[in-house]
Amino acid sequence: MLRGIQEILGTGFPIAGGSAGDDLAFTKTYQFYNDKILTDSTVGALFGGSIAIGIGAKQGWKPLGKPRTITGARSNAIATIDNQPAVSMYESYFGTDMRDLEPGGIGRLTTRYPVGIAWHLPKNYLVRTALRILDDGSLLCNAESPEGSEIHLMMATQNTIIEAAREAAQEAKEQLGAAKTLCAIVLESVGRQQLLGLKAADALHNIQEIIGMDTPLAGFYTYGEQFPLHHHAEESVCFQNQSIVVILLGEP
Amino acid sequence: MSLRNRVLFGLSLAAILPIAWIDSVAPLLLGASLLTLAAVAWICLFLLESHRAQTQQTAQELKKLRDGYDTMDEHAKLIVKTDLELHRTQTELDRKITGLYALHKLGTLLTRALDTDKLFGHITEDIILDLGFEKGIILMQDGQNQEYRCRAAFGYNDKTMPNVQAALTSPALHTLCTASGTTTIVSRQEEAAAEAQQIASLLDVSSFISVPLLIQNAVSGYLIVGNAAKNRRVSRSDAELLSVLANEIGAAIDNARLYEQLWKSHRDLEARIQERTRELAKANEELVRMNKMKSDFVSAVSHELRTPLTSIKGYANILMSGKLGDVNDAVKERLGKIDKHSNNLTKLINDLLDIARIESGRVEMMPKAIAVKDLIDGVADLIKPQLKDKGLSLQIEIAPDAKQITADVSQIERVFINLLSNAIKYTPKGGSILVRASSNHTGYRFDVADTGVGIGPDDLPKLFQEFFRANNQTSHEQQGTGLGLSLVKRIIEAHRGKIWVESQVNKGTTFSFTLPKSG
Repeated sequence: MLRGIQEILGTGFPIAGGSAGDDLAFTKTYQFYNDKILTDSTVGALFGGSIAIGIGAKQGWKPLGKPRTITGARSNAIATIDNQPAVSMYESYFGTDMRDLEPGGIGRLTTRYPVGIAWHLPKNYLVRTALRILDDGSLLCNAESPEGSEIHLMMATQNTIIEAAREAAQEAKEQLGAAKTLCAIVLESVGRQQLLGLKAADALHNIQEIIGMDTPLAGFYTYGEQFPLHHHAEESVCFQNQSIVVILLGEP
Repeated sequence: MSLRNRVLFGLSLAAILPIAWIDSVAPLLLGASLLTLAAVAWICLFLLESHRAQTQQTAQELKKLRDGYDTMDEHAKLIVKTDLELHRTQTELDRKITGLYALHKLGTLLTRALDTDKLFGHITEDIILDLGFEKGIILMQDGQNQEYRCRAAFGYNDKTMPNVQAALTSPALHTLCTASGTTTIVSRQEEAAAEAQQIASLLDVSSFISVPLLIQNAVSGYLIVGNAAKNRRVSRSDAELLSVLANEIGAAIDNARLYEQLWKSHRDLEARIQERTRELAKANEELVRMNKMKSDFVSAVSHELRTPLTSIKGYANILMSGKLGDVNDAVKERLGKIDKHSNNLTKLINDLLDIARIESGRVEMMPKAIAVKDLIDGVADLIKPQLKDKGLSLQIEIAPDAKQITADVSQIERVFINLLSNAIKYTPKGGSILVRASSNHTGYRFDVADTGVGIGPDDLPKLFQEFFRANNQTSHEQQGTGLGLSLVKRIIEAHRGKIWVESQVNKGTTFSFTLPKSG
């Protein structure tokens, strides 16, 4: 879908967004579109004209345990890891049969402990949470993970993800350059909110410290974030979970 | 030698040499080759052996590495376990803090609520959410048979409310919660009792807590809260939090009820006071009416008395003049008494009439400006003979700023004559009388002081009442109607002034009155 959007808008066009959530029930989500309430849809807004845009995306998760390899993948599902059904990686860490979990259980668990797909090593990991366990033990995610990639269980502390908010704001601010910041849209993963609890405001405070306390700020908690990735002078749109995306609109 | 010859020579040499080599050098050479072969074989063997050792070492290192990774993974499992535990504690703590904060906020509001309606108004859906619950119901005993009724419900809509009502009337709820009178935690799990399944399903929750509300130590209601989401199952610590809330609600209801009672009794008291005031006002009106009737009666009677009195006086005068024949001295004396008593009676009737007229407002004061000195001197002239008769001295003190008053001159003269006559009457021979006039920013003050017999403290308050006469020796000797001071008071009051008296027995009496500046 993201590729489809990019084909129409062109690869140089930055795309950022967030996936709708349902308060961690993992059953159904809704989207507002003008006066309609939709489900299973994508609603987009195109910003144009004389504006400067800065987009920063950071996740703050750290790899844990030994590296594994994705040995089988189909579309958005990770089928096997180290030639074992993908779910067995979770079972080895948590010691329970994941198929016994209640509906939404794997979603909530992988919200706290997602997987990280190594991407431009050594430092970058794309974070993914699993929505469901398929019958063959595959983990169904929101986006594809290439076969042969190194995969890790990921973990974060409140500090690392609060710091990620600051880094994302800094990245966005740097892209704006000398432009005056008008407003900020923050798309923050619900998983971060789960992990932060009462400290959820600290992350926003970190952003405000960078963009200025008086800058208007709006946003929502997401089930996944889309953001542009700069690579080899080409801009591609990327999907990951558990991250924070800061979009700054400025006056050039 | 040509090239051909040289080649031929070379070839023949090459043919001879091997024969020579075999014959002479061969054994030597063979030994050397064998040695070389052995060396090569040894080198090969050595190389092979060292490669095998290297492979073994690499394998060992690989194994070490794999072991390291596995250890790392074991550590990771430990970290994950600790982190899970930490997260659970953190979530629990966060929830408690949020709950306590909501509780504190609600507590402050509740203690300020002074009636039960307002009190329940403070418990809102937001507060229930902050406490960590999606749904909440407050049950209160109501009516004579003390049935539990829904006082408030949060998190339900028109569609789901009938189910809630059904749950509340269900005997299952009674079995589960209200029968126990204590806190109950119900979870809708497969192994749960049928009642629990039924109520949880009707209340649309996966788990709920029911806590009794105690009012004056008696269970008067229940607070039921629950969550639909299975990942937010209610816990023991939720129940603890809720007990605190239930206590606060109970205490607040207690307070509100007490306040309502207090307020009600206060309101009753106020109503009673108002009723009494109305009754008093009515009685007062009645008194005023009766007083008017009395005045009217006095006025009518006085008029009726005056006409025959004039005739009596006239006829007595005719008889005394001797026009109807000679009258002897004894008769003359009696006629003189008739005349004198008739005069007294006329004066009495005139005073009564004046009082009635002033009281009913029929006499209008005719204010006119007059110099204070002129007024007092005029009165002094009038009473000079009486002063002389009794040998009393009169002193007049007029303050410089008391220059001129605006009043009905003839009436104020009457006041002075009355007060001075009284002073003369009740002051023994050789005494003195003082008339003083002064002024301040609101008006004028006049004092008439004597050195007379004085008035007893019991009599002072009654002095201005009609027909009252002080109980002392002099008053028995002196004639008087008992209407003079009453008339004086009415004249002063008609001028919007005030009159009062101070007296000490055997020392003297001072009458003081004021007149306002505006006249």
